[in-house]
Amino acid sequence: MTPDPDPRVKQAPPTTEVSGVRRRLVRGGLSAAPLLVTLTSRPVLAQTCFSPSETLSGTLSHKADDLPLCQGRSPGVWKNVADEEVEAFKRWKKAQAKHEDDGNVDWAYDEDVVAQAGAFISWPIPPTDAFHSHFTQGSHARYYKRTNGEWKPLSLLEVMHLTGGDDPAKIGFHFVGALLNIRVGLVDPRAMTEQRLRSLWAEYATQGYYVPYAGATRWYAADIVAYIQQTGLASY
Amino acid sequence: MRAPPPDHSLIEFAWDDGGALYDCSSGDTHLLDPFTLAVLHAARQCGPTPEAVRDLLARTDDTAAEQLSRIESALDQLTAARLL
Repeated sequence: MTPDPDPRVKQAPPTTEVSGVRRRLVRGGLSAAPLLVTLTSRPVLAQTCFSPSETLSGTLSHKADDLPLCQGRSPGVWKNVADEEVEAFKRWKKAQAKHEDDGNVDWAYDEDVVAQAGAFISWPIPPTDAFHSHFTQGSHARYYKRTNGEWKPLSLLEVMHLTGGDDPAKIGFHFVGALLNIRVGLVDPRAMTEQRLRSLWAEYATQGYYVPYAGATRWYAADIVAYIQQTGLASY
Repeated sequence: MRAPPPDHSLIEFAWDDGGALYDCSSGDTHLLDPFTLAVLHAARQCGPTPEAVRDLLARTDDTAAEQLSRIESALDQLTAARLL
């Protein structure tokens, strides 16, 4: 651009790059405050999330341009992935057995099959881990099954298969999903960490409810599940 | 706090009454008025101190010498937007 001649403007030294545009930029709007507007991009599927203690203030607890974002997968997705991979493993084992002239094996879904398939399942935590090796048991939450006269702890994947009164409000199902999502980095740690998730569970398991902050209404199983779903720790 | 994006990740568009910068690394778009854009350019050359920016801008415009507080405000906004 050709600069306008102006007696107020000094001649720039020959070694300095002078921008006529810049001269006009500085002179323009002398009394107006500097203006800068930022349009922030955000992942489409992520949602703002916050810790249980922040449910009263919500996203106001954080700067508008630095909100915690969570995009946890649905627990059902984790369960279906594991189930499909167990089935694929069973087909593979059957094919192997047939090849070895042992085609009459009945591969019913059981812990032995899952245990063998465990190494091939794309979870960040083995699905065969006992649920209570990650989440404490209490009078309001004990996940065990009776097998051959013995009480054995249910695995993470087995808990995800529970229905009805065996897993009220499917709280165990959602906690496994939330744990997996945190482990793979889909949850902002300002909203939830594995340690805080376990603490939340521990309070629920021992008392039957969770109190997110002093003076708050008690969260029972359905309320805790709603928090997990609505903040994206483990989506619907 | 995030560090400013590397220069190569910023795409700039300037026109007579302002400009826009797109940060390829974050996806953010920043809209600047002419004054703030000039301060940004100057700060990149001489550093983000108000006096240095004032002195650089004053080489081509005497009025810049009287705008130290305005330059400070612009630098604060640019810093908050992580452009500096």
